[in-house]
This record gives sequence, structure tokens and C-alpha cells, in this order.
Amino acid sequence: MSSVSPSVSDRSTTTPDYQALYETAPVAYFSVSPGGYIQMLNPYAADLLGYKRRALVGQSALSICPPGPEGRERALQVLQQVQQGHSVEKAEMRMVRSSGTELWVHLTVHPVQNDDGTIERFQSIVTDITSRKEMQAQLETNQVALESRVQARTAELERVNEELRAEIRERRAVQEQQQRQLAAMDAAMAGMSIHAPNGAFRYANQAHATIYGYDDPEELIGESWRILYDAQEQAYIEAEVFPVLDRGEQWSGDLTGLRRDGSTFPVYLTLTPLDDGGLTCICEDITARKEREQQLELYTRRLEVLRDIDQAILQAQSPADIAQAAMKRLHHLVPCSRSSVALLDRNTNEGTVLARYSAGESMLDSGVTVPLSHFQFTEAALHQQHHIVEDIRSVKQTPLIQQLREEGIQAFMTLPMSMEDTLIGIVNLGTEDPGCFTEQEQRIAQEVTDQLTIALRQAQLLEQVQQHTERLEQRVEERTKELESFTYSVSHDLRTPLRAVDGFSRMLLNAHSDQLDDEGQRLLGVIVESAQRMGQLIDDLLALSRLGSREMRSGPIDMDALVDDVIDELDRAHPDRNIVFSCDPLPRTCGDRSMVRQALTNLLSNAVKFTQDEAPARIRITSDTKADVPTYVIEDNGAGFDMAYADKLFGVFQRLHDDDAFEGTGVGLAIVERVVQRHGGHVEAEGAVGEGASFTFTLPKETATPP
Amino acid sequence: MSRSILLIEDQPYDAELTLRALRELGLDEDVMHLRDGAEALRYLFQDASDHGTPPKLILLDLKLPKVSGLEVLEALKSDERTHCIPVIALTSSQEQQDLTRCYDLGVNSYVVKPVDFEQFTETVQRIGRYWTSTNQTVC
Repeated sequence: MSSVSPSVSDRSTTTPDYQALYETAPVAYFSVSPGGYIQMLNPYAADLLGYKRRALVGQSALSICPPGPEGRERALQVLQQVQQGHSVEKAEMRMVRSSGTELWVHLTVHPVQNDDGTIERFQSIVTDITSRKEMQAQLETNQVALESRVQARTAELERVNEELRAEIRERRAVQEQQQRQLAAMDAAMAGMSIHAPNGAFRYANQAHATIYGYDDPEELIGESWRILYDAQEQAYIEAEVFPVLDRGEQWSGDLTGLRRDGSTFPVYLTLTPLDDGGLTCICEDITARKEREQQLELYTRRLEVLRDIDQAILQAQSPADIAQAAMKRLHHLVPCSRSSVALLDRNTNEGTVLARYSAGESMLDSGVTVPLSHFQFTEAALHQQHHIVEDIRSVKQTPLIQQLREEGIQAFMTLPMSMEDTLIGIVNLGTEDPGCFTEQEQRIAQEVTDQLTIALRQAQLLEQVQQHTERLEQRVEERTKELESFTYSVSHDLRTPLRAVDGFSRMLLNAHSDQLDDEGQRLLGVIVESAQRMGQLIDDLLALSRLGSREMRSGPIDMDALVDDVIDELDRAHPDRNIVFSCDPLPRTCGDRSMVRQALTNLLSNAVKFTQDEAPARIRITSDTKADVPTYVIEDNGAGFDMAYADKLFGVFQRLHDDDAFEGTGVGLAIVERVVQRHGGHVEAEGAVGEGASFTFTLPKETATPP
Repeated sequence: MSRSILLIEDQPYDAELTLRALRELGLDEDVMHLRDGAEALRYLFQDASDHGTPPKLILLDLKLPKVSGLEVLEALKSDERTHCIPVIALTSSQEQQDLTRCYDLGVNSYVVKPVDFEQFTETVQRIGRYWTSTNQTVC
């Protein structure tokens, strides 16, 4: 049994039971900042004022009070009082709903203090007392009216007949009105009663009688309130409730009512003391609400379990870990003493126990594989329905079943784990209590099972992906090794015969040329030249292939110095050429120095090669200062190329000029592209036939971490 | 008979080109040509007593039948009788791993055989001149 104390400010708002209460209590709670702004309110409070909860958060508490001494002014007084650290109990004042209608409330505010004594927030409880005020007002009006009528009657005694008739009419009207009022109270859902100072019923409405299992309210009139509560509850009421009422305060809270037939039920009471020592009572059967609260708690737990399983998936735990976690949580939701998860392999007709959990014991060993026939899953599981065995003795006694019996299991439920219409496993829940699982428990168990199925499937997929990745990596490694050994063979084995072709042809040309005519010598010359071309080709190809597998050694590069270096080398290699190099200051970069040097050499020697018919040849090296990353441009005034073939420029063996005009192997630009790409940059070319070419490439910033 | 230069080379044409280049220096008479690594090891260790003083220079190809050039190099450099003999790797391989391994094992020089005949001839002759006359050896 619990009672709702209006003094909630000293309780921590972080405890979940209080939070639930806060959310569901039929009392309006507000949490207000020290400055008077609403921080939090419960649904009841929002409903009371006709707002959405969110709409009120952050609003001034004064905004829900109408202007005037009974509203905002009163609220301001209360605020000032509590800001000084005082509690305010049941300040009577007006509030205003979103619709504009006003209500009378009791406002109770307790300051909640920080450790240092400053005020953290105010806990406020608002009770709607509008109806009570209205009744009070009406009673006052009635009394005034009666008094004046009595005076009138005394003064005008002589005008008996007329007056008396009028009087009778009026009284009848009042009576009728009161009867209507009583009828309205009788019809109300809430039980209402009025008690004499000795606790005896003076009045009870129909609902009050019905709630406590009586047919007619008349049966209660004159009886003591005590007949509605058992001895224990009576003692509680005397000890805890009466003192509050004796102080002239209202009390409300949960009690356990006693019906006429002896059954008990939860009831919510609001007791208000009357000036004559009696009291009024408003009561409500909260059985349904209590059930809702329990449902809510169960629902919360279910969500927690599902969240835990999700968490397990996110943490990429092993299937066994996920299953163990799910079973452990399931034991909190469904009464069972033992549970297991088994995966089925329809190919081998075997099932493997993935996880077992036994309440009160540590996790049991798993991984046991047994024939499918030992599992007690039936056709029902195959058809993706859960199945309950209420008496374990009634099914085929397989070794597994016998083991379960030895463990004291009396009944169990089998739930299918289905994925895409395929049964991939089963969950078994065993209980020591004979009987069956409730429908709700069955639903929860299936829900957890479904979630577990998805989780396991995910985990399986993850494992598969990891295995697949490992296989791929292994294959890549194998292929890399193959490629390396191929490169090695090429470098060694292809060169040797070439050297012989070249060497022996030259020896023939040198030592035996007198035995060859001009044509013979020309033919030998072709052989020599071709052998040399092939040698160059092999070297270039090897350079290209090594670029792919070579480890990058990154460091800062002074591009100005590197370009100067390459230009010097090219100048020395072409002493007979008239080449004008012009170089802007270049941004520094970060990369593999020898790779970048190779790319620069290829681009600049390309420029040198394709300007061979120009005098002077002009080659400009500049940078794009507006770009985000270091961007270099190499332009020449040479032969250029047709932009229609620009995409072929960087392909291996792609040449846009015939050999007679410009010799080359068609690998140089492929190497450039490979180098730039390995540095995370890109390269592009622009040009026109006869109007030169320009190559633009990017490299990482000097501070950047190399890719 | 003692020969001052040992050429270990399985490719007959490469051997011929090498010998031809050395002939122009008048060194060809001093060359002992062996065709695989096993033969080289036998010549250098088992039959060493048959041919008096050990060679003054070894030209070693790396890719050899039976016992590879690297294994021959390792054997030479780890034996106190032979570890002072200059060994020149004369190979077609430009692979970093071969270079590294050779220097780890103590090779005295590493030369990639040019494909071009004239460059090849010049390279071999430069080696011959340097290691047989300029360079001083212990043995």
C-alpha cells in the first residue's frame, strides 16, 4: 500500500518510481526555476491547464495566472515568499487555462535547495478546487437568499396567502435545484460522500456505493466509514490521515478499500475537513489505473530488454553473448527458471545450443550440438507459432526432456526464431510451476525472441562479412605476391635475351660489317633499335608496377628546389636544345620525394620532348594560388594534343603521336597519374594541336597527414 | 691453375658478352667461368686446394640454377677463408629486396647489367679495371 504525500520536494527526481509517479499521478506537479520559469510539469498538470507539456516549459509561472489580486499578484507573492526559502502551503488563487477559462486552485510550493543552500528549483503542486469554490459560493448565495426571504416573511407576515404561495413555489424550486444537484452527484463517476463529525455517512452518491460493492447509497447512510476498510487500513487512516484533517488540511492518497463481499481494491481518496468537524470524501476506484501503471512498468521493462539487445548488436558482440544477454533479461519479464537458445541446421539435422540461462545460477556452458530430434520443438515451431507444453510428462521423453525433468522443469514454451520464412532456431523457456504462461507473457517472449532473431541474424551477417573480408585480404595478399614474383621474373628474365639480341647484333655490326651490304646493315640496325626500345619499355613498366606496391615514405617537399633539380638534369641531358624554363614560386607539399620527383621528371621531359621543334622552347611551371590544396601547372609551347583524346593521355601504352615524330613508350604519363593518385591528388591535361599542352596536378598540403 | 677472376653466370650469352668485354682489357685469360651456384661452392670450398690461391674477384649473377647467387654470397661472406674476396653482384635485377639482401650479406658492389651493348661492355670493363688494378685486396 502506498500513499501519495503532497510533500514530494525532498525526494530525488531521478529515482524511477518517483518519475513514473510524477508522470502518472492525478495531481498537477510543476517544477519551477528559481527565477519563476516552468522547467517541468507532469501530464496531469498539462491537462489541467489545457496545454501541451512542451508549450509550458520555459514559460513564466505567472503566465498561467490571470491578471489581478487573485491571480498574478497572488502568484508573485508566493514566488517572493518561496524565493526567500519558505514553503507555501495551499495558497488559494486563480489560474487560467489555454482556453481562457479560469480555475481556482490550491498552490503548494516547496523550495528545493542545493547543497550550498541556494535554491535549485521549486516543486509546486496544484490542486483544482474550482468545484469546491463554486459549491461554497452557491451555498453562500442560497444562505443569503434564504435569510432575506426569512426577513421578508417576518416583515410581511400579513400578506400570508400570496406570499406563502410564492414562498412555497420558491422553496420548491430550490428543492428541485438541490435535488438536481444531488442527482448530478449521484450520476458522477467519482464516489462522493459527506460524513458527520463522528464519521457516519450523511450522504453518499450512487458511485460511492457501487465502488464499495453496495447496491444503494441508503445502505451506507448512518454507517461509519470504518465498514469500508479492514482493520489494518483503519489503523493507518487514524494514524496518518486524521492528523492532517485535524489540522484543517485536505488529504488525498491511495488506500485499500474493502468491498461488501470482502474483496479489497485500490482506491484514491480526497478528504476535505468541514467546519463542523465532518468531512467530504471523493473516491475513485483506481484498479484500472493501478493495472495501467503495472502495464506501464512492464512495458518499460520490455523496452529495456529490447534496448539491451539492440545495444548488444551495436557493440557487435558474438551471437552467444547476444543470446545470453537476451535470455538474462527475459527472465525478468517472463517467469521461468530456465531458458535456452538453440540454432538449427537443417542441412545436418542438428541443433547447437547457443546460450543457456538458469535463474539464480551463473551462465551455463553452451555450444553443445545434439540431433534435431532431441529438441522438443513441434510442427508448430516449423509453422512459426509458439507452442506450450503444460505438462512435461506428456511429451516424448528425449534425453533433453529427461534432463529438464531432472532440473525440476514442469512446463515449457517453445518459440520459433524465424527469418525470411525460415526457421533458424528456437527459444525454450522452462518453468518449475506447472501451468501455462499468460497470453501477455507469451507475447513478450515472442517479442524478445523476434528481436533476438534479428540480432543474431545481424551478428551472423557481421561474422560473414568479416570472414569475407579476411578471405579478400588474403587473396589480395596472394595476388600481390604473384605480381611481385611476376615483376621479378620480368625484370630478370626478359632483359637477358634482350641483352643478347642487342649485344650480338652490335658485335655483328662492328666486327662483320664488311660482309653485309647496306640493306643488311640497315636491317641489323632495326634489330638493335627495337631491342633498346623493348629494354626501355620493360624498365618503364617495372617502374609503373613498383609504384603500386611500393611503400610511401612521406615527408615535406620543397617543390621549388625539386623542380630546379629536375630542370638542371634536363638541361644537362639536352645541351643542344634552346629551352627557356620559367618558374614561379611553388607551394610546398608533403609526399614521397622520389615518387614526386619521378612524376615531375616525366612531365618536364614530356614538355621537353614535345617542344623539340620549337626554338626557343618555352616551359612554364606555375601554381594555382587560389586552390585549396597545392596545385601545380606545367605548360609548354610544343606540339600539344587533340582534346578529343585527352582521356587516353594517361593510359598505359597510349600515345597520341607516332613514333617517328616523338619517341616514347607510352608509360610516362601513366606513372605521373599513379604517383599523383597515390598522394590523394588528381591530374588533368589541356591542350590543342600545335598550341602546346598544360598539365595540372594537385598534391597534399604540407601539414596534411599523407593518405 | 689459378684464375684471378671468377665469373658465376648461367646465361651463356651474358657470359660471352662479359668475357668479350674483359678480353679487350686482356683479362679474359684470368677468368674462370662457372655455370651454377653448386658448382661455384664446390670450386671455392671443396676443390680449393686443387687450384692454389683463391680468386681476387668474383662476378656473381643472382639468379642461378641449383644454388642461388644469394646463397653463394652468404656462404662466401660467412666463411673466414673467403669473406675477404670482393664479390660483385652483376645482375639484371633492379629489385629493392635483392639490393638490400646483397648488402646485408656483405656484397662489395651491386651492378645492374645494362641491356644496351655498349653500356654493358663499358660497365664490365670498368668493373674489371677497378677491381683488378685500382682496388687493393687482402688475399
